[in-house]
Amino acid sequence: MGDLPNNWTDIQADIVYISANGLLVSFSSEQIKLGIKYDLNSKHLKAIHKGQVSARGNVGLVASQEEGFDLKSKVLGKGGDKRFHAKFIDGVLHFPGWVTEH
Amino acid sequence: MIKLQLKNHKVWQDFTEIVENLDAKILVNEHLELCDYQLCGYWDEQDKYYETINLPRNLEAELISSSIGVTNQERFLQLKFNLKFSVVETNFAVETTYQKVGELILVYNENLEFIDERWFLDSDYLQHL
Repeated sequence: MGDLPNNWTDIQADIVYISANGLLVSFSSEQIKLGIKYDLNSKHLKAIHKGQVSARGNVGLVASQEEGFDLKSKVLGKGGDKRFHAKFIDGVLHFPGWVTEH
Repeated sequence: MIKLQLKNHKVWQDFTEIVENLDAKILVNEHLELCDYQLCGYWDEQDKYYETINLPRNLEAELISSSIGVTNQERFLQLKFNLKFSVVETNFAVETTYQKVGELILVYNENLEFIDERWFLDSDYLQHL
């Protein structure tokens, strides 16, 4: 289990990584494609590294309102118009590639 | 295909009623209080990252637009605010002017529960931090 890279291009699909705050995360190939497309400077990866935060005024992972999802990555300011949603599967936070605008 | 008469559609009347009965000021002030007038993590237009931004306590928010969104899973309400704060100048006569801070969008679900936020802080404001 390796450290979560800081760039989407360095991430491999369905490999379990450990984030800076100790969270286990994995990404589908679809999610990696979306990351490369919408998150050029890997701001969402920084949010994932930071882990769960309170919902107001923070960059990080917050509760997802989408059905079947647990958390979403949240960026404030430039790049803050997209959210990447994830669900816990056997203790690993998996990002299947679901992107919304809030 | 049913052709909608959009201009006269009841949806406008219903939405106007919702917005008229909504106290947007209470919602935005509650939000600012709950985040303690602080942003933990913000990317500006030049992709510069700010670890913490402390906003002025006398921040005033003014509703500039409201909209309803519909996805296949949910319906949501989006409120957009102008953010500014007053600066008192005492050079000759006491005069209050306003400095613009930026804009804030708040997103709520059908039960008026907070879902998300989007912040856009003006570069003029960020330069003086």
